[in-house]
Amino acid sequence: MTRICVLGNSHVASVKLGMEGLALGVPSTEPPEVTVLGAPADMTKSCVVRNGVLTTDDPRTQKSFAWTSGIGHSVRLQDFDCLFVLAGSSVFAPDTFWSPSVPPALFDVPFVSSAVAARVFEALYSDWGVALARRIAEAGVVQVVHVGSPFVSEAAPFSRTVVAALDAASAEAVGRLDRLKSRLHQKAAEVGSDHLTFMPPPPATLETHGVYTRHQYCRGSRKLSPDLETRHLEHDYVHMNGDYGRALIEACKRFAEGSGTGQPLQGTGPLP
Amino acid sequence: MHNAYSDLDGTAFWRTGVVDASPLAMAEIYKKRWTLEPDWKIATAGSCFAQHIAGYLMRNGYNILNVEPAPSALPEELRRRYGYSLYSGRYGNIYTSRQLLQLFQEVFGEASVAPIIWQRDGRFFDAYRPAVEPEGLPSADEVTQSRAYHLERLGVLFREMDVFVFTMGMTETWQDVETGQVVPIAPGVIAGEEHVARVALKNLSCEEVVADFREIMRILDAQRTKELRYILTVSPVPITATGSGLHVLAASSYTKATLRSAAGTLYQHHQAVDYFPGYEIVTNPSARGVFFEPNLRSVSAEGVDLTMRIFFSQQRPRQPTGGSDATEQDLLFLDEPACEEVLLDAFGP
Repeated sequence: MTRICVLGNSHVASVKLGMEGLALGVPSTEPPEVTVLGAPADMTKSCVVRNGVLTTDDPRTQKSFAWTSGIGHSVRLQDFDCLFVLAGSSVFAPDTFWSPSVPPALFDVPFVSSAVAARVFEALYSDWGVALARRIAEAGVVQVVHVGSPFVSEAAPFSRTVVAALDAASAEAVGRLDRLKSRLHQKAAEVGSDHLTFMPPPPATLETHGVYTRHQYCRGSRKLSPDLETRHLEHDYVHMNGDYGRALIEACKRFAEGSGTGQPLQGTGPLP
Repeated sequence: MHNAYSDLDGTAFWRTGVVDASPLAMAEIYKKRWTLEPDWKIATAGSCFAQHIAGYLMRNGYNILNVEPAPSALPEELRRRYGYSLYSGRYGNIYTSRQLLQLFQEVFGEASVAPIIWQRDGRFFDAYRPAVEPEGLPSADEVTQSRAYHLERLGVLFREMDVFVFTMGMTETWQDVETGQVVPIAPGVIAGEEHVARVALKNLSCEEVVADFREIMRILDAQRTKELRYILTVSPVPITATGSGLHVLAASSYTKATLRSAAGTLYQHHQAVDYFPGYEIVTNPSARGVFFEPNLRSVSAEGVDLTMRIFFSQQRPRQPTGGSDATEQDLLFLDEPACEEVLLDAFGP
């Protein structure tokens, strides 16, 4: 059985919901054993690795880890095939290349030079979520995979502008978007190491252009709380639901199995 | 005895208008020709000093267009370095009327503008805006792609804008002897040492500056369907160095006098043109140079602030409502403008 650990913030609620879904459904393959360590906002920054054990000294984070994992606030990293970090910005989000302040009528997929793209990636690589993943990876115990936050929903106001523009985009604009994605994938491959890799969101959860999450994976998202009963506000476009969590767990499993056996990593995508 | 001066107010006389007046209370020096309406879309361009104007207009609630905003994930401290957040497009500083005319001609296909690509250490630079990619790009092809996108965006900008704010900076420019194209800075300063022998200094006359600007107005009239207004200013920042053979002080005086005269001519003959006397406010003799930094070039924060307060005494600040097309992050509020011309200082003795 594949054993994975998912460490993250409010976004792990979708994983918890996804685990429930997997447990209720009839999986086509054996579901992985998932341990979730979740704590709101950036509380997971307090995580440390001591003697191969991932833990935290912050009492609030300890408490949150205890109820999200159901086993306590510390885990032995060697017990897992992979550890996935769902915190901070995804290094694959194409919308990091444009500004949400552009008026809808003026939006276009920007040309971003290789030099500027490199600076953008460096900023994403310095983001706290990736820094956390790097710190855990440096312990050299387990393969750490940074996933980051989900891409924003396609239903968010600015997402709608971009999707409409992309639907009507010229071949040049589509080519620019492909190059932007390609640059992010290329940089992610370059900075990956023996114990640190990066995984984009599951391709099936993304809309046609691969820029935003399909809204069906956002609708009905829940807050990270012990009962997972409280819904996010209707106009919350950043948190995802149990269907997303389920798709993510399956992608993580494929990734972990590919990673563990040296097979091609099937969780990556959408590659341009 | 009654004469033409008898009924004039104090601002018409040097003693009462300048000597006895506080340089900090010069509000009457600017009388707007027309009012900037809140829904007008404003585009800004020009020499380094223009960056202050763009930032202040944006901070005061005006609708500043920015068609090439920085990527949201690009750290703020890097945006200006890569030519973002300075103006309404990523064209860097436009020091001369000839450079501006050339840009409009290129955007609207009014003249053949041959690309010029400079090199440095195996990297490639767009000679028309060499500072926007400070390390250059890995291939000439990428420079070409970048410029094509830039021009496409400027087509949108120049058609959308209702007001064009331009700060005239210099008359000296470097011209390719074969094509006649001008570049914003001499080859060899940022990159393009291989082009040094291909350029010659062109020092524009007042007539040429006026003609350039009138040609710009003609192009825009032909390409646009709505009314366009212009606000012209002259940068009070003296030139860093001259290639004219004159003493730099004399050369700077020529440049500023020429530009001021050209701006005045355009103002007198075109109702669509307003002139804002930022140059006079900063260089006012009664200020005794207090608005300049110790290098006697850079305008102090107090000087910039006073200049813009006088502007807003006529063109009232708007309450930022979120309706602006640029956010505070898009056009940065500057302490020190990004100005490649100061690089020339390093070549002095």
